[in-house]
This record gives sequence, C-alpha cells and structure tokens, in this order.
Amino acid sequence: MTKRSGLVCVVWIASLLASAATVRAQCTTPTGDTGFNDVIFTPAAGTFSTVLPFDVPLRICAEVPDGTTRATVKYASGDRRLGPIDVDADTCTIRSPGIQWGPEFARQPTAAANGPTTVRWVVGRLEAERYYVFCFGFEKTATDAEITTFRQATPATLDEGLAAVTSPTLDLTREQTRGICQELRSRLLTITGTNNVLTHGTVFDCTDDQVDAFATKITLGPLQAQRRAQLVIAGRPSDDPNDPFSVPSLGTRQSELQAILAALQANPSVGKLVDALAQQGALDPAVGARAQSLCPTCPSLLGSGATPAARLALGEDATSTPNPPLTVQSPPAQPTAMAQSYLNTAQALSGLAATIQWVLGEEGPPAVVAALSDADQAALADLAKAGGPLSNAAGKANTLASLSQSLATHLRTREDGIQALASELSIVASTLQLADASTLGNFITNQTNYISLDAGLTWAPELEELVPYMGTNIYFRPVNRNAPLRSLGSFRQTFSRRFSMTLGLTLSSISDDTSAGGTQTDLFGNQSLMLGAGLRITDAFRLGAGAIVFKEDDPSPLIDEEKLNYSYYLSFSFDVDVVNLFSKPLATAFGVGTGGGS
Amino acid sequence: MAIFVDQDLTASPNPTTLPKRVEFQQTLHSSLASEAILCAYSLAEAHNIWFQDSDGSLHKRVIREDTIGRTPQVTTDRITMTTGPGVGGLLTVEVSQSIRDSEGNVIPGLVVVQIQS
Repeated sequence: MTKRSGLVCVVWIASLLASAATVRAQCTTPTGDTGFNDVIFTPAAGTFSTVLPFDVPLRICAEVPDGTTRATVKYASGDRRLGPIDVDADTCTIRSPGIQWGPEFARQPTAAANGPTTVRWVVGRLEAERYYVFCFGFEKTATDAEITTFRQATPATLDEGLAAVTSPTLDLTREQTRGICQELRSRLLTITGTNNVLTHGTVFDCTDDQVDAFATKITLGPLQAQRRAQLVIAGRPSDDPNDPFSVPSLGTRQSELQAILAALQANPSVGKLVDALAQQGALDPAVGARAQSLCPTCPSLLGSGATPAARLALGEDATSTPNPPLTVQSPPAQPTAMAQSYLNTAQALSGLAATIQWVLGEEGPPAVVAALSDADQAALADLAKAGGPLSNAAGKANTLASLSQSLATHLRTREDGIQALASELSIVASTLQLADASTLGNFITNQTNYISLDAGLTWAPELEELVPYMGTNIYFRPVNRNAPLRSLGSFRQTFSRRFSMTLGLTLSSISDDTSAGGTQTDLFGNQSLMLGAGLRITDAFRLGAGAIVFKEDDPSPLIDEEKLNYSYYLSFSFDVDVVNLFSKPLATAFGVGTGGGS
Repeated sequence: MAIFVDQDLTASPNPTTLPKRVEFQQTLHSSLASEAILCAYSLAEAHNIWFQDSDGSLHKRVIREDTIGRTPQVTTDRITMTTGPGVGGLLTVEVSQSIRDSEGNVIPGLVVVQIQS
C-alpha cells in the first residue's frame, strides 16, 4: 500500500467513524455510511423515519423515556398478499392466525449529556414485500419528577376513594379497595407513560392478597378517622327509639339547638329583660358593667345585633360566610371555627342564666326588676333554674362544640393519614420496574427495487467489437443492492437476486468503415441496442450475454436498403451504485466532485 | 353538662388474637367540675365477635360508668372480647362507643381492632 492510499484509507475510516458517532449521540438520520441501515423510531408519533429496507441489517434508533433501563423490540411479518397483521396495539398480542413474534432484541439505553436517552437495536434483515409489525418495550423506573407528580396526585385518589366508603360499619369491601388500588395503579402508569408494572409483590399488583393488606392499612389509618368523622356528622341511629345510647346526627342536634335559640330570641320576657338592662345600663354604669361581666357574649345571642338562631345553630356568626355542608372531605378549619362559635353560644346561654339569677336575686337592680312583670319574672326564673332550658341549651351547645372539636381532629387525622399513605405509596412506586409495550405497524417493506443500472464492456465476437455500454437490469423480484450477496445465502439461494434481464446501449459505435466496404451501422446514431440477461457474480461485478441489435446494409449492391441484424455479445459490468460507493470516499478524500462513476 | 374528647379511643393490644381482654382507653374532660357518664361499647350484630362478661355470657353491648372532671382524665375500660355465633372471617372489627353525659347528650366514638387468626 502506498503512502497516499494509506492516507485515503485512514480518512475514509475516520469519516465512517465520525458518521457513526453522529448517530450515537442522538437519533438523527446519519449523513454517512454507518455500516447499518438506520431507521429512527419515534415512540410518541409511532412512526419510522423511512420506508423499511430489506435484505440488509436494520438498525433502529429510538429516543426513549427518561429512566428507561431496558428497551426491547421484536417483530413479526406476514405475506403481503394476506394483508396487514391484526395485533392488539396495547398488549402486543397478535390475533392473526399463524403469525408469531420473532426473537426479542434487548438493549440498555444510553443517555447523552444534556440530551435524550437513546437506544439502538440491530434487528437483522427484513424481507421484501411483507407486512411487518413491531412491538417496542421500554422498562423503566419512575423518575424523581414522575414520583413527585404521583405523590401530588395520590392524596386526591385516596380522598375520593375513601369518601365513597359510606357503609354503616367499617367494612371496606375488597372491591372498593381494589377500585382504589386500580386507580392508583392507573395514575402511576399514566404519569410514567407506561402500561405495566413488572415488579410484583406490592399493592400495585391489585391482587386479592395485596388488596386485603391494603384494606387493613387503610382501615386502621385514614378510614378509621373518616369513620369517626362520619359518626359525628351522620350519628348512629338505633332501631330502638328509646335507646339511651342512640347517637343523633349533627343536623338533628343543630335543629334542636336552633329551636331552643329561636324560642329564646322570641321570648317576650327575655326581650323585656334585655331592653331594661340596656336602658338601665345606659343610666347606671354599674348596672351595665355587671351585666357585661356576667354575659359578655349575650349581644350575639339576644338583642337587635344578635345572630339569627339558624346561624348560631350551625356554628356560624352573623358576619361570616355561610359554611358548605360538612362532609368527611371538609377542611378541618371549618369545624374548628364552628366549635368556637358553639362555645361562645354556650357561654352566652350560661351567662344569660347568671344574669337572670342576678336580676331576680337580692342584688338585682330595682329599676330593671321594676320593668318586669310578675309573669315575666316567673318565666325568667323558670328559664334560668338549674337543669332548666338555658342549662339544657348550654349543654347542647357545649356538646356541639365537643363534637366539632372532635370532628376537626378526625378530619385532620384523615388528611394526615392520606398524606402518610401517599408518601408510602410513592416510595413503593419509586422502586417499581415499569414497562411500556406498544405495537407499531403494519409496515410494508420496500417493494420498488426491481431495476438497477450498470456500466461495463461488451464484446461481440462476430463483430469483432469491444465497446463500453450502459445497461438497465430488470430483476424479477426486489433487490437491495446494498445487501451483500454472500450474506444472503448460497449462489443458488441468491440466484433471483443475481439474475436479471438487460436492456442497454453501447456507448460507442460498432459501425464498421463503410468506405472500406463495411455494411453494419449503429441502430441509433452511434449507439446500438443490447438485449440480454445478466448474472451478478459478486455484489458489483456482472457477466452478461445477449444480442446486440444494429443495422446492416443489404449484401446485394443492387439493393440500397438497411435491415436489422443482431449478433450475440458477452459482457462484464459493474453496478453503477457500487462504482459510486467506491468513488465517493475517494473523491471526498481528494476534494473533488463525486459525479464520476454514475 | 358536656363531655369533650381530648384523646380518641384506642384499644390494646391491637392487633390481637381472640379471646383477649382488651383495654379501651381515652382521655376526656367535662364542662362541669364533676360529671357522671355512662359509656356503652357495642359490636355489630351480624359478625361473630362478642364481648364476654365475668360469668362467661356473651354480649354485643357493654356499659360502664365513670365520673369525669374539668381536667383531662384518662379513662380505661377492660373488656374481654371473644368469638361466638355469627359470620366469621373478619380482618378488622369496629368497636363503637357512645358516651352519655349527665344531661343525656350522647357523643360517639369508635376504634377498629385488627383481629389476628
């Protein structure tokens, strides 16, 4: 090898390596010869970048989801005449009879710096004129960002799932639990862009065993708190109307309190007392101060600025926005505020009883007492007696305060339980091996490669001519000239890829010198037609034989006529693309155009 | 006049095998200086888990008395739980509680006991 040819070789190999490196960085269409037929698969669009080649090793490149640890591809093919292959796109299940997946090609993806994660599979040779379906599988663990998203979405799933449990006792059915489980699994798969969980033995299996274990965890966690909250809100009615331990609903208790408060606010004796205390308090600061000290919260219960009984009974004050109905999904702040309101109401009721006792007692202000009739005084005394209506109402308001406080605790515990469970599930989810399988097809391989060009020399022994020619080879099947023949089998196995009919033209004249008595001339100008057949001996070299068609003068000197004649030929030629293949790196190396050889 | 729950009802041991003397505990206080209460523990009728008293009788409801003051007070009731007639196979059982104060106001409570086979 000369120095110059060595340099060419180095440059050529370097250019090939550079091309390969370009492909390795990310899935882009290679600009040079990589040694493979590269096809880019776009998972999101479900497309290939080009028509699938045949007879040559196919390399598929794909940008895969972040976190992908293993990527697989397998394919199945069917005869074009039988039509497309019927396959379930989500599960890669082939429904067409007699067609099965081929072997699976697995690769570990590589992540480029600041670039996408890519994977390349070399999947072997496809055949021409067949339908192909591909099943791509990506195995991955969820990324940190995906786990964060899952963590944020999980409480809502648990919240809705648990809120749907309204059975009278804490019996979460297996189906209810399975529903929650499947919803969680579905969310995880959606967020991670996968469609299967490969890791088994976790709640995401949603199998009976896992569902039962999950149910127990939920029951002892947030569902117990929810059930407690439900008990406060809905009560526990008894079949026995005289059951002393029957638990009324919150609404019933509120209605009872409302009735008492409404009666109190409408009571004329109480009204007179409030008016008299207001008038006398304005005149005598001592009376006003005493009344204020005994019942500082009475103005919210009685008088012109009082909160309506209906709102007090709901645990609301006059200025607040009305609360939505309480549910197990209500914010804990709502019952917390209600509890304070009920405590104020209870305090006002107790304070009113104390005020009545003061007014009607020995230290009662005479002017106020004078404003009350005997009947009023009797009615007020009856209200304020120990165990009387005011005491009873205060007890109910205090009980509602107690229940509201408990309810706030239960709702908070439920929320905390859901958050804790969501965290636990997120940790489990982060350890899972997930998979996404999808089908791509039906693709039909290239079927138009029936024709090739070659150039060479043809020898017509009878004419004693050796001339260059250019020919068109017409095959009886698609032939990929990039596919080395030796890689496709024996001579016999590759015969159909070697044999072709030839239609060509000589590139120089085969006419003999008419002035010296010659009689043959070219068929077209300086060119004659070649009809024959050829056989590729190697990928590039072809031997052929056939007939050259030319014109010949009639041998009779009396007849001035030309007739078609033919003579057999033998030829050898090179495939034009192969010539081009060799010429390009050489031309590139020497910095000249690449037009030669075509 | 009213009973306030400071700490919700718990059961111990939990989980438990049956029969077992289970301790039910909670922290309560009253709006009164001293208030007598009745505390009823109940189990659903359908299943096979029962309370058992000292003479071996099975019950679905057990009532205990206590007195609660203004300061938070831990109350403890020890009740034997066992299996009896009814549908079995429960993984968890709900023990319902009703606390009735001196004025007849009833507040609910519950605890879930996990049953080990």
